[in-house]
Amino acid sequence: MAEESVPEILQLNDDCLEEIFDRLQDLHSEVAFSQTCQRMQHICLSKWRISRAYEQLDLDKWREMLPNYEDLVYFLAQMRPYLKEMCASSCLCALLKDLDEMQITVLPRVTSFYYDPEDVDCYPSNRSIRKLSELLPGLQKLRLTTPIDGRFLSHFEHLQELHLYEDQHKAYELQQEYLDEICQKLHDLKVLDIRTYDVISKLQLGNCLQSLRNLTVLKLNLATLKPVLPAVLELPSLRQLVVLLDNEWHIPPLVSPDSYDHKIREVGEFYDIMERKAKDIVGFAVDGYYMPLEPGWDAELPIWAHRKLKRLAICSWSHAADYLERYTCMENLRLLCLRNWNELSDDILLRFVELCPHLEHLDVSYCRELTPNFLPRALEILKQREPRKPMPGYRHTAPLLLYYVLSGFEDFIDKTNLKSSPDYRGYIVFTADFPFGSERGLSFVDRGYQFEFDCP
Amino acid sequence: MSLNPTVCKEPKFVQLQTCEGYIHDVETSLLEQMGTVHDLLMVECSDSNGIIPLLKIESRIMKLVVQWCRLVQNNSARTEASDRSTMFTELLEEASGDDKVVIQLLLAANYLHVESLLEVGTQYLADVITACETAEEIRIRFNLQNDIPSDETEEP
Repeated sequence: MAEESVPEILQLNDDCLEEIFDRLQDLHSEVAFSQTCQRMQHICLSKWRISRAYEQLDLDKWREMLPNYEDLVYFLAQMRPYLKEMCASSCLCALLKDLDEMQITVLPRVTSFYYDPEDVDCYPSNRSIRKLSELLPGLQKLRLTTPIDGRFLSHFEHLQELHLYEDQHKAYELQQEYLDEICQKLHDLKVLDIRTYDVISKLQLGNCLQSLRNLTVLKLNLATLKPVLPAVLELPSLRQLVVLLDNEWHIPPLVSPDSYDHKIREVGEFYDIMERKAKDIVGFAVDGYYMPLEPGWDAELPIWAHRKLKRLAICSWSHAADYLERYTCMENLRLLCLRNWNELSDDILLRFVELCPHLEHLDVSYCRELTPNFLPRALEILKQREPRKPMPGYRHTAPLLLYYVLSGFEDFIDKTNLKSSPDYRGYIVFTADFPFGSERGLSFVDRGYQFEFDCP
Repeated sequence: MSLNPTVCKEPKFVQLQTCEGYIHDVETSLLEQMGTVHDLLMVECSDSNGIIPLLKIESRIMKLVVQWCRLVQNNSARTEASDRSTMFTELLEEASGDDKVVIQLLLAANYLHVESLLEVGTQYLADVITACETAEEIRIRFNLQNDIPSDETEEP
């Protein structure tokens, strides 16, 4: 019979073969299995392609999974057309050389590359950057946290996001001519992060802004922003502006250092943005530790007339909290972040729960003056608003995410295991983390401020 | 099967006919584990002549499937994967079964929807493959031909 000439194992259907694949103990066995014949290769490849474990190429990690070099070369060759992300923590030059030896010259579908070397002395050369642009021709998102002068970054023709900043680490910058080239040649650029933490930034955007028509997110030092603020605010697609205060500041030579008040100087742009973009501001965040804002600083802001705030973060505030109540008129508030407030009380916070019905994220990390009494009172307000949650079949709003790290009720939440309490289910979700998109630590945005704009 | 044509009374045994024509009497209580037969029985309940044809299955394999279902029923507390693997290995040894028998059992389990047998059979084969060091060893074990072109490259 014709079937007898077919090996028995190939009489199994694909479902059975996939079940066998799922039970293989390690990647080496899977590789051997896939190399037996075309059918098994097809089964294995279809499983590898959809596996989250292999979505991202991390060659160091893959070397551990496949210590046999030939296995690794084979696996890389099979996965090459399907890889979408890549990251590296070892020397980039060595990595590119290794890929060369494995005859991997192009990864056509990789759209994201994150380079964060563990060895801080391993700086990629310009030659490596150029080679990288040839390896990843379709790259859309690039994050590089090592010193580079920026040459050949403009070779990533489809780049949409360029991140050159690592939190609190950076003390070097691109060369101006290469920043100009990046801005002028990368027409798809939407996100640009050129912050520098440890020195006053010398970068200028004067020659760049007319090319950045598609930019939606700009992250830069205050020194870079100062001369071009009006033009930056005119960028037609800008949705988010993040400003890092420079570590030092220039005091003009003719001014007396004894009488010169740098605090007034450093908030000037902040107020300018508030003024110019009042009707478009849907969110702002400020680090009160570094921004010298006194009580009543916001009394006359033009944003009150528009009431469009959806996201508000004022952190490390050391004055009284009473004035905060004026923000309860922002009925569209979705996120409220008040980390590290000395004087934040239960009562003030409850006003927000009561008056802002769309609140989804409440971050009170490091607020030691809050008490466990806040929790049942907040729950009561939410239950009065929606008494039928979490009945099955009842269409309801998302629960309030409460971020509580080192707050006054952290111990209470952990000891009473409120995270699992049926009473709070559907109303409040407790999370010992920070909101997505915010920085970790004492402030939503570190050493500076951030604005979000409503962009038509 | 029932004296009263309006009432479907479940019999103690059903008769399953394999491809050689042999008829196997199988306890009805085991049919819960055989999804296909169970469904057929529900459909045929009112007018069945009592014999369900399973023309894709050999008699020898059917006996092993029934034995396996009995083992699972009688050892319902032993649900750990390792226990089931031991039961399966013992069953194979008693039957002097080899890889061919395992694969035939898997084909039958797939056809009859015997989930427990599918799980333990695929695990058995996975363990055999894992124990092989190279692709060539796997090919020899399962009589596979290498039909992968030597210069094959995947196109993006």
